Amino acid sequence: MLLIQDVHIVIGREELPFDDAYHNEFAPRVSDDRGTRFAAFFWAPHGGGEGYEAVTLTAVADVDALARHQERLATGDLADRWLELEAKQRNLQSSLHVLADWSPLAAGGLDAFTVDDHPTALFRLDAFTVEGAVSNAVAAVESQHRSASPHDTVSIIGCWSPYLGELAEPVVSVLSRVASDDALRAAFAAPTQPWTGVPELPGARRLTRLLRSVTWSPVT
Amino acid sequence: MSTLYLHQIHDLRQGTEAAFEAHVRDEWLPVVNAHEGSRFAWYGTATSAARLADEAITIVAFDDMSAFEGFAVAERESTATRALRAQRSGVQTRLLRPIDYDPWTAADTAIPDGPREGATVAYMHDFVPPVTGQMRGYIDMMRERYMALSSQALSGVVLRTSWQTVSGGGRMPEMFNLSEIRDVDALVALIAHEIPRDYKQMGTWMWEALATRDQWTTRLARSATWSPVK
Repeated sequence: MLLIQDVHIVIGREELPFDDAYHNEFAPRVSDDRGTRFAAFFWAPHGGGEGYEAVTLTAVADVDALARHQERLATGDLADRWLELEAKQRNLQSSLHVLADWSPLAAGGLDAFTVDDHPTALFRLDAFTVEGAVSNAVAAVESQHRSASPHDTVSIIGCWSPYLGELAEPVVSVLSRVASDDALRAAFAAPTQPWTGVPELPGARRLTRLLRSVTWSPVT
Repeated sequence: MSTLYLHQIHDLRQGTEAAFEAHVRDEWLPVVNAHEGSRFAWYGTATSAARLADEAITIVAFDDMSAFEGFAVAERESTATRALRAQRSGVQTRLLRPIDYDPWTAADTAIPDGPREGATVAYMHDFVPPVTGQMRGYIDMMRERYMALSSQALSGVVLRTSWQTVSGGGRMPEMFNLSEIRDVDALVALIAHEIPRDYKQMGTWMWEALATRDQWTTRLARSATWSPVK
């Protein structure tokens, strides 16, 4: 499964219209193609990243589905809505990844991603720029995922790496879910301590975003 | 002239954080404080949830421009500076001055003349560029609206410093706000749960504030246990 990761810097006063347009107009239509699903919508809360930063994930089955999706955005049935979304942003950074097949996110296949209502949840997205082989780093994250404790502050639910591998910036991304408000409270109350369950890749540079899912995000 | 602050974010090689911190505390701080009118004020590090790992933040205070000049002329190519440089892989530097409502200045914050052991304090460390042309409006908004809000209204996050970049001191215009996290429960509510839409509607203070700024970069940081000012 491939993953399109979009990092949006939204115009502050367009926050709610942007959220509504994604929720009501754009996300439900993405899955009109059999090979594409809207997978996640997160906001970075204050403290979690840049101001008015949103991260969205779109899952595609393969490069044929990717080509159809690109065409829909450029000139097809999603083009007008995509333009409207673009106008509500200052910046958009879009990147293409391979979702590790052991990721819990991949377990249900494309059809597991549905736009339903549910409580929000808190996540952290760690992006590691690695020095060695990307595949080795992904394997190390898998190993940490398989040996995780149920009592950890966060649990790994997804890992992805650039579709172009080491032809691109060698960044391995790991999405982890915070166990509960109590776990978060305990973590903030001990600022000198590392959060348990967070992946560690020695030698890599880490960029972290704290992300809160919206009530309609498929990933929750 | 008001106090001038040298704010630096030091990029560190992974695994060298402790050595850098010890070097700053034991070697660099005494060099800074040996200069008339110069005080090493604050040392901060990234928390586990910080946006960027492997960095440290230092703040040095100068009583006036003469003190700044004395420090800079003596240390710009000194052995001590080269030793500090060798400990890091990069650095972002800003020169800042307090804004008129700055809580640090209003509290007449005293900077001890050396390390002081104590409990670490957690902070939100924000660089905030205003909407182009709106720096004065942003300052007015902070002074007249934000500073009037209660700690509870601000989710237990209390502004400790509010400074701005000076000419020759980095990106302009830009505000630097360092806010102490005093109430973990309130912070969890702020981060983990959606802010009600009613709070963001036209006419609310959040809406009005967006006319002056809607971008920032936040670091979740904490002071070192030995930082002169916690």
